[in-house]
Parts: sequence; C-alpha cells; structure tokens
Amino acid sequence: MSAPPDPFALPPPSTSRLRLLFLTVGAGAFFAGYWFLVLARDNWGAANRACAQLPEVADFLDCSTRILVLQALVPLAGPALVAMLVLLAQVAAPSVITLRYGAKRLEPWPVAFQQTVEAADLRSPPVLMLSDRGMLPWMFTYGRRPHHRIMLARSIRSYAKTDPSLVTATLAHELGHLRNRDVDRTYLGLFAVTGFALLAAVPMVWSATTTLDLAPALAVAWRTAVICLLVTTTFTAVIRTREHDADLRAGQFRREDILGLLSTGRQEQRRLLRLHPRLDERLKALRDPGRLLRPSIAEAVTAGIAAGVIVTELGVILHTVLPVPPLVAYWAAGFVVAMPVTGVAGLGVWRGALVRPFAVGRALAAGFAFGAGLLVGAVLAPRTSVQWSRWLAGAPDQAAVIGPGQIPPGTAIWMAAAILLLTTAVFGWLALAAIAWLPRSGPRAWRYAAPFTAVLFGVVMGMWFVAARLAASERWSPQSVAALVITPQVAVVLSALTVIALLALWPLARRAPFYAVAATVIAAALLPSYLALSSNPIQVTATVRQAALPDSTQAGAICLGLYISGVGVYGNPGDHGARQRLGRLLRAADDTLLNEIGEMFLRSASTGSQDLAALAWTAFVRRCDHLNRYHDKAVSDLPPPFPTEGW
Amino acid sequence: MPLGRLLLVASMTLALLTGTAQASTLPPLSRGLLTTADLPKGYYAWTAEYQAYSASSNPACSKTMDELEFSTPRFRGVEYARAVFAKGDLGPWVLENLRRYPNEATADHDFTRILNVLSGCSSFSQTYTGRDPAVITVTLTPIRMTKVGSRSKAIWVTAKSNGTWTYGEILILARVRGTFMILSQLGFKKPSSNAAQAIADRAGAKMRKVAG
Repeated sequence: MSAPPDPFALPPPSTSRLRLLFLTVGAGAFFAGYWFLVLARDNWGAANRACAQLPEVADFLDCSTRILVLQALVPLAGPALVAMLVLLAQVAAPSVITLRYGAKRLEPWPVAFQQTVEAADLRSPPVLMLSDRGMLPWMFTYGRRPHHRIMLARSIRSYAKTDPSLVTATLAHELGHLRNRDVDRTYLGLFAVTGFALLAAVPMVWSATTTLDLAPALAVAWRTAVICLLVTTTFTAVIRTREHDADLRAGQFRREDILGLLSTGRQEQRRLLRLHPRLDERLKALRDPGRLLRPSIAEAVTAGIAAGVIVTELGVILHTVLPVPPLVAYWAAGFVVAMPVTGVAGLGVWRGALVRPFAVGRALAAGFAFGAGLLVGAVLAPRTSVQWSRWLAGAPDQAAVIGPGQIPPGTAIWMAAAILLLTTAVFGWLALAAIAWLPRSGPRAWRYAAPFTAVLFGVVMGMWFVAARLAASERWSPQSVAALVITPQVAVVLSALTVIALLALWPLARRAPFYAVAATVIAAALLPSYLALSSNPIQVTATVRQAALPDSTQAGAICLGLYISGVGVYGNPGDHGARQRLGRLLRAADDTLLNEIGEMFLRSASTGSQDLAALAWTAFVRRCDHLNRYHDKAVSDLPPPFPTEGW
Repeated sequence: MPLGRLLLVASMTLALLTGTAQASTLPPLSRGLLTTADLPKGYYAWTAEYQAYSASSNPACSKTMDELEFSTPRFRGVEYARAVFAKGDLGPWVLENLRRYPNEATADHDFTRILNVLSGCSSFSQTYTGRDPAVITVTLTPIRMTKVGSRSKAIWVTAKSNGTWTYGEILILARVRGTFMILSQLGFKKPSSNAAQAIADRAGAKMRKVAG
C-alpha cells in the first residue's frame, strides 16, 4: 500500500476556492460599476451629444474614443470600492471583535494550552483572549498576521479542568488555521462577500426594480441572483474546506485529540449554508486526506462560470482601452483571468495527481465541466448578454456582444463543441504533465507548470470569447469564425504552444508510451488544422454578404441599412469598389459628418488604404450609433410626388 | 360591430346564399398580379414581414392599414392574392394585394367603408416594442393620379420613425367590378411620378383582365 499523500504538498483546496471567491465577487462588482456609472446615467448622453456636435470627423472620433475609454475604465470603481471596504474592515475587525466580546488577555496560560501552542510550532504564537460575555462561539481565531488572537469562551475554563483533551483538540484545530495561514484570507473573503452584497448586489437589484420595466428588471435580477448564489456557495465552500485543512494540520501534531474531538463533538445544527462540514465527513477526510485532493467537478464548473463572466466583461474593457487588435486584447483578458483559474482548477488536477491511483478520467471530466461553466458564464455575464439598447434608449449597442440567440445555431453548436474540447484538452495536458513531472521534480514542479497552463488557458479563453463576439455580431459560419480568428500569425503562435506543450510531456515517452503517442497524434492533427485555416481566407470572404444600402440621402435610412446589412456594407477586405459606392452614398447624405466620412471612404478606395477605410468605418458606425440613440437630427418630410387633393 | 362592417358581412353572406358569386367563371385572381417583367429593371420577388405594433393612437386607422397592406383579417367569401417585390433589402418595394368580392356592390361598399376610415387618418402613431423599439408617426394625404380602375383613390403615406428616418408610400386603391386592388409603392426616397404612374397603370391593366 502506498503512503498517504501529503495534503499540504501543494496549496490546499481552501486557497483555491478563496481565489475563486474573489474572482466571482470581482465579476459581480464590475457589472455593478457599469450599471450605476454608465447605464443608469443614460450612457453619458450629454457628453455623447457634445461629441456629435463637432464638425470634423477627426474631432468626433477623438471625442467618442475618449468617452468609450472612460466608460470602459469607470466600472473598475465597482471592484475598487469593494476592495476598499474589505481593507477597511480588515484593519478594523480585530479591535471591533475584541470590543464586541469584551475580551481580555488570558494570563497566565494553562500548561496544556502552552504545550499545544508549542507543538503547533508557529513562527509567531497567538495571543489568547478570554471573553466573559455570552453568545460566543466556543473558540475562534481572528486578528491580522502576525498578531493573531484566539478567542476563548468563559466555559473553556471549566472544560479545561473536566475534559482537557477536548479543549486542547479544539485549540489545536484553531492553531491549524494559523499554520495554514487562512485566518486573514478567510476574513478577507467574508468582507468581500459582505462588500459585494452591500455595495453591488442589493443596490443593483433595488435600482433595477425601481427604474426599469419588468423585462429588463428580471434580466438584471436573475443574473444578479445567480452571481449571488455563486458567491455564497463559493464562500461556504471556502469555509468548509478550510475546516478540513485545519483538521489535517492539527492532526499533524495532535492527531488523537482531533480524532477524539470529531468522534464525540457536537454537530453544527444549520443545514442550509452550513459553515462547517459534517463531523463524519471531517473524520473521513482526516483518515483519508486523498478524498480532499481529487479534482472537484463542482469547483471546475464554478471556476468556469466565474471566468466566463469576467472574460466577457474584461474583454470589452480591454478591447476598448488597449490600442491593440481585438484578439490580443481578448488574449490579455483571458490571461488575467487564467492566472487565478489556473490556481483553482489547474491546481486541482495537480493535487489529484498526488493521490494514487490518479483518476485521469476525473481530470478530463473537470476540464469538460470547466468548459461548460465558461459557456454558462458567457450567457450569464450581465453587462454583455443583454441587449440594453432594447430597453434603455441611451444604452450603446456595443454592450451587447454575446447573446446566445444572436449566434447562428450551426455556429453556436460548433463553438460550444470547440470550447468543451479545448478545455478538456488543456486539463488532459495538465494531467499528463503532472504524471510526467511529479515523480521527477515533486510538487514543486507546479511552479513551472502553472505559468504555462495560464498561457494555455488564456489563449483558449481569449480566442473563444473573441470568436463568440464575432459570431454574435454577424451571421458568420463556423469556418468563417475560425478563419477570422486563426490568422497566419495566430497559427504560428498556436503551433509554437502546441510544440512546447508536447515537448513538456517528453518524460512520458519512456514511462508511458501510450500517453505520449496520444498526445503526439492530437498535436499532429491540430497543427495542419491551424495552417489550413490560416492559409484560406476565401472561407471568410465567401460568407460576407454584399448588401445594398437604401437609395436615399436620409442619414437615418443609411444607418438603418448599416444595422440590417452589417459588415456586408463594407465589403470584402480588398473590395475597394464597395467602399467607393459607400463613399458616394455617404457624401450625398443629409448629415455633414457622414459627408466627410464618405470622402474618407472615397480617398481610401482611390489610394487603396485599408487603414483609412477602417478609420472611416469606425467613424461611420459611431455616427450611426449616435443618430440611433439620441435622435438629435431633424428628419425632413418627404413631399408627395403628385398634387394633393381632398378626400 | 360597426355599421359598415355589418353591412359588408351581411351582403357577402347574402351573396353566398343566393349563389350569385362570379368567382367560378373568372380567371384565377393571381393572374392579375404584377410580375417582375411588369416592373422596372432590378426588382425581384420579396417576402414582407409583418411587424406587430404594441399600441396605436388611432386603432381604427392602424387596423385598416394592416387590412390593406397585409390582408389581415381576411373576410369570408373574399378571394385574396398578393405579390411583393423589392429592389434591395431596404427598398424600394412594391406590394400588390388583389381581392375578389362576391359581387360589385359588395366591393364598392367596402371601398367606401375603407375610404371613410382613412379620411379620418391624417396623422396617427404606432408604438413598437421588443427588439427594435420605435414610435412611428404615419400621415395620410390624398393625391391626384390618373385613374386606374372604374373607381380609384391615391394616397401619399409617410411613416417617420423616432425622428431617424422617413419613408414614403404611394397607396392606390382601385376597383373594377368586384375586384379590388391595393397597390403600395414604398421607399426612403420620393419616387418619380412617371415611374409610379407607369407601375400603377400596368397593375390596373392586369387587374382588369381578371375582373371579367
């Protein structure tokens, strides 16, 4: 029989779930920031109108870009405000708790306490506090590192005389929390949840129900409710997991006492949102720590949902703020989210590899679950999955990016299959990497695996979310979406990553030829796919419709044509004739900005400048967005083509 | 039920009971419809989608316009035929609806009923909610065109959406015996009077062929 795994060889599950909690709170607070600072303020109508009054296209573009960038940044105030509240609460909490319980230092310490604290071998021992007030949990830990305190209830004194092992076991458990360094983090988590509820969830639901019609209010409310549910369940998961971790740590220096405590202790009575695991579960985990180390499907789904929400939100922000191509912005968003996700779901797979036998199938299932979570997150993201302009006249259409109903069904099915396959593949690679590296380098190899895994997650998420946004904006076919995203340069990056990932599994070739062959076959199949897609732009151009704009000089009618025909109005990348036709139409429009934009299109067609055409296109889309939202332009009446008469 | 509608239903029922309907002896109604060959170059067959409004400032006007352009609701005993053409996704469009009533008197009575309603519709608005919320203001002005049937009326209809765009429509109602034509020529640009009259004349000529 193999030796039981060391549960602390890698960061324990409670740490991973805390990261997940912060990720989820961040996602919700982002949306609250956008809701209160942008959407609920009429999308800054006055500032936008001022831009529309500018006579020059260059000034109009500068002005509207400034607003878009600011609007992308201000939602960060949501998480920032929650973070400030968390820090304030964290600073004030120790004093408030001490005052609340009227606690005083316990001096001198009973000998059994002294021995237990010494056995814990802490760098800075805690201060023991004694409270004379009732309504106090029996024993709990609080304070900030390195000045932690353990609060003891009055009744401890008598128990210390009658049942000292019960008291020392509980004390050992609390010291286990300190050894695991989870006290500060747990309070941070608690305050993050409280801050999210006070500053984001409750005000948002209240604002939605009091300022909107029923349909948008429901759209906000159910999404907020789901995020609240995720936050709550993740928080309780953090709390429950840290209890297991503390038991395991205390078991390292007071094993018998802890076993006795869990065998005879009192069960927490709460059933819903229970903060401690059941005693029998704790006993089982203490006897078999491997139970805690297996990859958790629920954790993977939740991590996927949280990541899906955040990448959707962050992708929009970075795409607006960063002067880089959309795919690079989405890669950046994917990578920012991938780091904590790797520390949650990726670490879970590696932890699972510490247990023998390693359930590779479970790791693959977690990968599938993570992909499913991403899909749910993309639908759930409150800011982007609702077409706000449908209900709020001033809301920009730019906010609506991934409405599942907007993606053609065939493309949606392909995209869902692609993300499930890709996340399963990344988790599979992680599992193989763990099998290859753990016996050679031990758990510390995770330090090297984690950054590369984050890059893989970031690339996969970034590419998929930019593809989803593309798919929702036009009626693209699956091949077109893939070919649009996987350009020759992107194919080079993907090929390089595949080769590196394959080389990283080299140790497997000797130990497990089957896995090595499987990985090589998958990589060999992927490489030509990248190259085939990236070298065949015809697949994209074949699906772009050459749409006709209305035969009219009305700016509103021309913009209506833009909304109906989409990118088809622009034509294929090399089609300067389409830009010429568009330019002529806009030059004759009854709007001076559109006239100037028309001139830009004509110049781009005569010089063959793609950059100028792209700039003109941006200006055209933004001008139409303004006209559509603010209706500031007076529309002239159409006179009858025949003489009028009476009825 | 309004008196006009009551009389229409009553006369049609009577016609059906007495077996005086002329439909069986006449060529199919659809033969009287315009085809792409009858229209200027560039028109192709098109499918018009009806977009339901959620409110109207004058429900009778909205209902009558729907009845004319989309043949909803349909009356029992009346035969319908329809053709729609477009020159592009955003027009101009030509919509033609033909109706064959059981007899001339019923058709003329309905013509009068419709004109009576439309004469009170100089301006009204329709509110649309859902995917593309909008308030459309509709105006109706009678215009003088060359007559295309034994009885006809031409109306200039404009629809202005939220102050963003306006389209114009030449709506021609014409009757030859028991056959009733509703011809709409729509677009975002004022149509040329010559072209509009030519299409109306061609539609009138084809209607006469199926009117017996």
